[in-house]
Amino acid sequence: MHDVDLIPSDYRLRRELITLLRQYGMLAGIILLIGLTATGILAFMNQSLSDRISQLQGEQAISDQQRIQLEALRGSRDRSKRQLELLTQLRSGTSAREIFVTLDRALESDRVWFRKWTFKRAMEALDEAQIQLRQQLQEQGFLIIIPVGQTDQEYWEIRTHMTVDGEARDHSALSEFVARLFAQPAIEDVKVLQTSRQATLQGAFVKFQLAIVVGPGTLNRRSAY
Amino acid sequence: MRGFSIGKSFGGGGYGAIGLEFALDELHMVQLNRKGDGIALRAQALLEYPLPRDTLLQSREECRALLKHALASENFRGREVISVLPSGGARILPVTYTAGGKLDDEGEIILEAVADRLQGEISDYVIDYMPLRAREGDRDRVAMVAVARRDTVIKYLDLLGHCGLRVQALDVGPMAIRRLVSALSGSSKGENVLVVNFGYASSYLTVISGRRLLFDTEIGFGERQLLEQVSGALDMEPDRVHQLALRHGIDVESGSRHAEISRALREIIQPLFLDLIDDIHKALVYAAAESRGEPVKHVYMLGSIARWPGTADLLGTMLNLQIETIPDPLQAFTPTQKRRRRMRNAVVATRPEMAVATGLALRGIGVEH
Repeated sequence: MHDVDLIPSDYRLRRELITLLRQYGMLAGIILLIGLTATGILAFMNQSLSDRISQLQGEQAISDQQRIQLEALRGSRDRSKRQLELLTQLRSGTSAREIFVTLDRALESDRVWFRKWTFKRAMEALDEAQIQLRQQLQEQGFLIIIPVGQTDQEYWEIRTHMTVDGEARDHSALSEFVARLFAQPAIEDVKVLQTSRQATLQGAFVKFQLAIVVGPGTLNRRSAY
Repeated sequence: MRGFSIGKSFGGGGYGAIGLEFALDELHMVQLNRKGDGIALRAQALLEYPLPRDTLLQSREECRALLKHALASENFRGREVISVLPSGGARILPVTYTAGGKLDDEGEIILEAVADRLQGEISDYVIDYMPLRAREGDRDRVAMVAVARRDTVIKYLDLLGHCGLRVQALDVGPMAIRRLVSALSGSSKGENVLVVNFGYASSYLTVISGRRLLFDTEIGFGERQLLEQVSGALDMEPDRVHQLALRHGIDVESGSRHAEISRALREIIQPLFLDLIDDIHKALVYAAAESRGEPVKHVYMLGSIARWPGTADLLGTMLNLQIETIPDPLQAFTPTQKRRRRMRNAVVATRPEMAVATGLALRGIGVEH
């Protein structure tokens, strides 16, 4: 059944349009509000993340600095350690007593005697061929090689050099003595630097000067480490 | 008073628009819920005006405050309302017209018939109608035409809009009462019911046959006439007379110690009822003619004079019919559980005057009676 309605149709239409516009306006407002809220939240999150990143970068910078300091300290420690090792090696190595014993074994008789005897212990850099040779000796247990430089290719060796000024009855005695020296495992090289025959009232003798290179610590095979 | 039940044809669920009536002295609001196949009362408000009604309706802020208070005082939901213009705002004109003339459109025919009875331009009015009688083969037809001034309607709609309400429809009182009476009587019975709705300046006679509105007419009889008559006879202020009438009424059978007052009032006003009785008789005859001799089974009254104790007895005696105050319209609807809990310890004022608001609320839930 038809119901009476006294609302004018144009008024109703106008009101419906206003309602529709209001609803769209509210919808747009809600969307805008959501957008603004989302933007605000994202901006806040972005700021928080930026702050966190800055904080982490700061912490990383501190960490890098500490790492550099640590590496510097480690380098310093290694250098000190190597110096200590070298000093230890220099201090140790083949002892004077052992050298005396070795030379004494080479002397065997009184046909050779010493006038002056100098002793020097020092480091010498090794070339590649020498390194290989030393490594072989090291593997066999005869030699201790100490890496000194920044790279593994740089090796140094502690050597003991001796210079002996002495006199022998004759060249035969000198040559026996040199041969005996070569026969000693501790002796790496012997060079006759100078010989001269001297005549005195008591008889003739040979004056000589030898350079002897003693092997690096091979006598007692003590490790430098 | 017999019991009433609501038909089971409503179906659906959810709450309806609020029925809203600015009655003479009070604001009436009712909201109903669909509940399964039936209807439940969701909320009702009956608030006295803080100002005279005309003054109140001129003040948007006062009106807004009153409605806000009413909405907050009860469990109303939504802001959709179905209302009626305050009394005097709309006129109901029965229009007889002949269909099938030079104008094919029924609306145009009715408009032409009404135009002669209106002052000024027809564009100054809002007009709607409802056909009352349209028998097959009968070209003579009757329609109930509701007419209101356009500016009055717009002003009222704007007022409610300002108060935050959305007016779904602007109904008229007789239609709301028809809807309520049909719902209360049961849609299938088809009984004839006469409703006398007393107003302040005029009253309305509405005849309903089952779900059909047979007849509605405005008569020049109202509470104001009675008050003026008594006021003149007893040399009292009309307000004082109104208080006396409401307190003591015109019930001479009550046996109270104030029966003398009631008797005096009755003697003064009884002659004025004769014109009303005459109009009621005409309505009864018309109802019988329109429903093939079916008599009016019930005469209900509501409104201002219906609140005077003894009015039903006076009318019944004069008409030789049983007259009843319209049953409390809200008692027919089961309150919602929430409302039952809310009202457990409350004294709820329910009055027959809520009939119009209840009829509007029935339209709000889509009742088509």
